[in-house]
Amino acid sequence: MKTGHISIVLLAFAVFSSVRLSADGTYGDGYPFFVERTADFCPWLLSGNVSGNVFTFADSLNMSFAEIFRKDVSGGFKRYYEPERYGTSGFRTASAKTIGNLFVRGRFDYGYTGAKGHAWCGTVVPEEIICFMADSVPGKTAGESYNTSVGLSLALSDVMAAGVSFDYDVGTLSKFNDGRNSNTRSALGVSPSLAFRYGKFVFGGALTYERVSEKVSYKYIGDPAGKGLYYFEGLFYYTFSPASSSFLSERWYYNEAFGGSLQCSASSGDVDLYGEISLKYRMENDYQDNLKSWHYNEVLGLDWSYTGNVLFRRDRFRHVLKMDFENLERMSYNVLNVYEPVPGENNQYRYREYGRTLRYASRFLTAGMSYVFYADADLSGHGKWRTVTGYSFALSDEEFMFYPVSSYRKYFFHRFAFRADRTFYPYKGGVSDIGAGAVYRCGYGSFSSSDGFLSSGSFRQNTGLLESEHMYNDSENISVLVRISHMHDLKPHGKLSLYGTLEAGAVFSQSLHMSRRIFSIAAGFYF
Amino acid sequence: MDKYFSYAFFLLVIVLESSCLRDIRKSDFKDDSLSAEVCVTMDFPESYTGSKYGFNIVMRNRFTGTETVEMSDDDGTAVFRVPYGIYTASVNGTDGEDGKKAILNGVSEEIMVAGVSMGASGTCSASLPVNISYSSPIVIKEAYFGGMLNPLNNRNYTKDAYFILYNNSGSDVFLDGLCFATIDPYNSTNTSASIWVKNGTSELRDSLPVSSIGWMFPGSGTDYPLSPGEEVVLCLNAINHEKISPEAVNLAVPGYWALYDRIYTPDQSEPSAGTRLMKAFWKASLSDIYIVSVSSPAFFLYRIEGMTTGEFVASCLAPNPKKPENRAFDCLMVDKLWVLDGVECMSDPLHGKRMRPEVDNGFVLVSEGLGQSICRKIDEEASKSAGRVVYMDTNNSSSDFEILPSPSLKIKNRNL
Repeated sequence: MKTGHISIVLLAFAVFSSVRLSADGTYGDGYPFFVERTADFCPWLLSGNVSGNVFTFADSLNMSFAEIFRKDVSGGFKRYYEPERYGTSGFRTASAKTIGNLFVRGRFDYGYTGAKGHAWCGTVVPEEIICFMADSVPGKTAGESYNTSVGLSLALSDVMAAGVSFDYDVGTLSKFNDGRNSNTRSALGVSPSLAFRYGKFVFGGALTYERVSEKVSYKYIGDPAGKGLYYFEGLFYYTFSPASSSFLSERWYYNEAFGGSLQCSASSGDVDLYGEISLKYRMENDYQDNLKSWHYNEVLGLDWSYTGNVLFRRDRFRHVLKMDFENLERMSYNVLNVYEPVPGENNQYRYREYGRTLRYASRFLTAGMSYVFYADADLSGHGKWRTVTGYSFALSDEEFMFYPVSSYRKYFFHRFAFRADRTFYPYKGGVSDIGAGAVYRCGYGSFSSSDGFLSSGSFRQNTGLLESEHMYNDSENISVLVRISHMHDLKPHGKLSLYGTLEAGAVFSQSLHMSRRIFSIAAGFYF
Repeated sequence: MDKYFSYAFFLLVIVLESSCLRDIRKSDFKDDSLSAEVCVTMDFPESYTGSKYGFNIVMRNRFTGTETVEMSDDDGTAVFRVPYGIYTASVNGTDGEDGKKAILNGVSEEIMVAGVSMGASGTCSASLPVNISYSSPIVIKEAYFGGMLNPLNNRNYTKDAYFILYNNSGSDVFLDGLCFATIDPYNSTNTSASIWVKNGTSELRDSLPVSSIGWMFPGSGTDYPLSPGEEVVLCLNAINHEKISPEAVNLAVPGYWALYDRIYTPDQSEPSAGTRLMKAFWKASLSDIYIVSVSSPAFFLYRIEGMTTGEFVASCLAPNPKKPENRAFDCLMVDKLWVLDGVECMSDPLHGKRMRPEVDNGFVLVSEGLGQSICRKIDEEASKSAGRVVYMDTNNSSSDFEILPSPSLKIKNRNL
């Protein structure tokens, strides 16, 4: 790969430091095609610590890019909250620059998504909220997302750097038939960090604060007969509220997370090592109205993760061993509220809290390892051939408690992936990349077992959703993806290049006789 | 090498099987954190001398509607273990023999099962007052009010609402002076207590609030007899509704009674020929039509005792606690002892009760717009011994009523 294109690769990586690629090496989230190459060699750029880039990101790599994209997905093999088909159009731009001792990176994404056959869409990010409300009627939806990320770091001396990064995301979602919902979600993240260099070692530490809030309101305009809202409380247990002509239901979800991460890297001749461990403690409070007067649910969470990277260089080959481990735990508590008169006040009422009861607990664990092999690598480490072989394991464990009933659901997933990419230089100033990959996934687990049975009242478990999720989880499927990219220099040495990417893929489930197809196209400039 | 592999495998097993947050909050998973014991004791009237053993006491969760049932012991006490929450305890049973059967109903005030309400013994206690009432000779047999989609214009058609009254006893009864009413509030609501409660409590008042219009069967006292097993139909609009919606009911049948008054409800449909008219003796609302809730009405039958309708209106009119300044929302308060039969319908099992337990200790769950009606179940045992159809009447519509997929008069009156 030519020097100019190397800088593009590293730029894209630097910009997308918040993008986490799966350890099994499958394609990322549709970002420019060079992103995953850079991640193999510069793990600090993907870390939660922007300060380490001062010591590891060369100033010769300064670059920016902007692209427009379109992605279409359709097919019946999907989760219950996914639309039957949807299309996203958008714009992305990003930049990374070193100015003296200062490192700056920034990113802005905009996407507009239109979907059909979309039901159970009570939150902008599916399954982010445990006790959410949603309706079962599929319909057309539309949503927008604006994602901004900025990172700054400054070398205070030869051995110490300090930095801070900000992330701000806004998302909206609306459905156009009864029950009509309108969701607005905003997420803010701040992460101050420090990095220290000692010989061939770089150590870093960062603190993290995140705040996410989402407002949702549901209403009915047409004939409400037979319709209503489902109020979920975990593991698809719900109460149902029939709709009426004056029906309006609103909720606010507030989520805060505090945490930190530690990083360490070492570089010695032909071997580079990198490791990062991070921990986050989450608190979520859910309110039944928009005035915070009815606090109906509370969620505690603990997330911790580990990422490791080992790079071996030998002759014209590069070997990268990547490890990823993540453990996410949630505990959801129902808050007991009583609507009672305010003492000493005339005709005034309030919701008063009388304690919390654990209702739902979950644990999601993933562990993965992949081996990336570069053949025919040039001096900068980027080769004409790249293969990835990966394996990951996931465990999903959920429990719902409402005395005397306890319900459980547990799944195990195995994922094997392989892909190969070939880079060509068809003419001077041009580079093409063709890749193909396949992933085999199998899952097995329990449908939902219960100790006890709720025989009365409005508390029910949605067995229809349980069944469809079980069919999805307890199945084997194969995904295949082909990607073709081409880049053309408009100015020499990669100072201005035009590129385009075409991706097509599909997921097949033989046991369910279903599939899901993905097609995306993107075009942009590097400058 | 084997040693390192074993250590790595051991570490992996610990990592996979451990769960940090769950370990930190281990106590939250125990039964004592998820539930508590509640001791409910029935409080019988002093006049009651029967057995206290064997009554099914039901603890119902106010927010989820889940019910737990335990049988009372010789002292009339039952012990429950339930999840934390707000509950009401209720009992429904009978005592005595046929012909002089007393119906025992009771519902408690809201019982808070939470840490703050624990007594010294660690068990929550509650009292369940029991009321004694008797079955009525005339009952509400069927009610249709939810309407059904009109295929001609795709809108819900609800004007063909009707009520069927039935003589459930073995003797003639006279309709003269019998009153029909719907209760306030119009629809069931999701507030924790009705606005018509005794001061400082969540217990419903001893009188039922009549909303909108007071209706009465006319007559001098013996003009309108109803024999055992006979029934009468009350309609909001006594016309042939099939001409407007093919899915509606034909109520243009001579002999039916119309809840229609030329002065109080001039905008209501003019009843067809042969329809008898109910007498409206009082009106508070400003509307020129009389309607009932299509989603969750509560209605009852009563007789005014010891006074004229004028004296009744003058002495028992009460301002609505929600809108005390607006005369259009005033209600007539009917003493619970005057009530013969009542039925409460709800659209959501989590809504608050509007009727006292002596009138209706349960509720019927209905959905509007599906063309369903509610109908009393036949008491097979009583019917067999009486040699005629006798309907269930335990003053608990949860057990006395069932949902019919279609109103009985729709098929009966078709093509009349």
